[in-house]
Amino acid sequence: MKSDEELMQAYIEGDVAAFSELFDRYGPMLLRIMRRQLRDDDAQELVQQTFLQMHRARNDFDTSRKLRPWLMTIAYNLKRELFRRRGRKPEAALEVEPEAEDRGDIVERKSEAARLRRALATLPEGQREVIEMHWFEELSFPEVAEILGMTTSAVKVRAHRGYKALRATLEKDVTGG
Amino acid sequence: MATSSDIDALAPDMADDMRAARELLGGSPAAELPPGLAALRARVDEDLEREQGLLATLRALPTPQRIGLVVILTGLLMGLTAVVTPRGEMADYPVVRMVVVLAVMGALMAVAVWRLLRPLHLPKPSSTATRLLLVAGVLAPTVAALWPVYGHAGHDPGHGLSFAVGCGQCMAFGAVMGAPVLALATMLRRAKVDGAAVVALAGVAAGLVGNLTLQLHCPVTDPLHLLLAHASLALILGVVALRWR
Repeated sequence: MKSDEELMQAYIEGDVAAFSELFDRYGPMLLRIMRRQLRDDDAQELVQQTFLQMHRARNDFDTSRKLRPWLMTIAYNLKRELFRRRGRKPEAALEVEPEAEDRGDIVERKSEAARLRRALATLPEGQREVIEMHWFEELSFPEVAEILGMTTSAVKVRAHRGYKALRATLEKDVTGG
Repeated sequence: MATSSDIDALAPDMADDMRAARELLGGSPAAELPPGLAALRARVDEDLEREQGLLATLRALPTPQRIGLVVILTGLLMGLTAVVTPRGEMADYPVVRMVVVLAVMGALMAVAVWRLLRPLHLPKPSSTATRLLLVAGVLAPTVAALWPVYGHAGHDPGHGLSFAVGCGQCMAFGAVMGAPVLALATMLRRAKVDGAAVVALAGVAAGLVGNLTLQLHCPVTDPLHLLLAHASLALILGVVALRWR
């Protein structure tokens, strides 16, 4: 299987099929990221914008670097700009997928989502963003650092504080404290 | 990818906290496939099909080349001014002052263009830095206007109506020179998602280009003329850019 970077190189050289493969790899992930804090139509709009920006910036991509943090930075910058334009801080809205099939599953997941939403909403924006990337999207600390323009150590400290605060909130939630 | 080894590499107390929190959070939802992808893919394809022609080609150039285009256009306008309509007393004008003014305003203009065309795949610069750049872009021509020219008498700025007409001519000249740079920089931007400070910066950059060309064109050294007809351009074009967006 070709790596992301090989696919991007192929796309830069004009291989349209490589773009399809990249969309299949990153479209679902980006949509999940956006839906976590936005309504579905806004989330789709931002993912659309992310791929358009990826296309426009393709000649800026350095194929010796990783594609994922590069693309994620575009997505996160677009999301931040949208929140700035709307003059509101992002909410930790962990949405349940609208097409989940099982009714019982929906109820359970809604409850779980509400619990996570409450817990995440208690975190400062900087910590929440790091937790989102590290836990939800399974990005490594260096990748998160690259996206946020911070040092890896600073990201680790932020993640530690965030996880610690989340743990306290979730435990309190479970014990009803 | 973030794996357990990612956390294992941390200090033990940090790793314990993180493991415990992640256990409470449950499994990562990264494997779930969101719906609505096919429709989204169709819209992305439509976007890409529209990305044709000269404008799309220019926007897709590597960022250093996009910045280079704006800088080259500025250089051409300055060269054109110096050759076709140079200030009459150029030979007597203090060289050091000329070099300092051109270098400072040229550098500010280049940094402003860099900020305008900064790609989205880089972390967003602080809004404070952008605002400082904006203030510097407006203040630099003002300081240049108020900086006394020793040992050199420029042309008479006139009085009353002739002073006003002279000011108007310089403002028009500077605006005409700045406009193509503003247009090019706006065309080369890949996403119009920035805040008011960045939009105003486009106008301020154009005002700086106007000042650069006026420095080579206008022989008047009267501070009031320089302040009203040259330095104000950065502020006026900054406001115009804001209104225009």
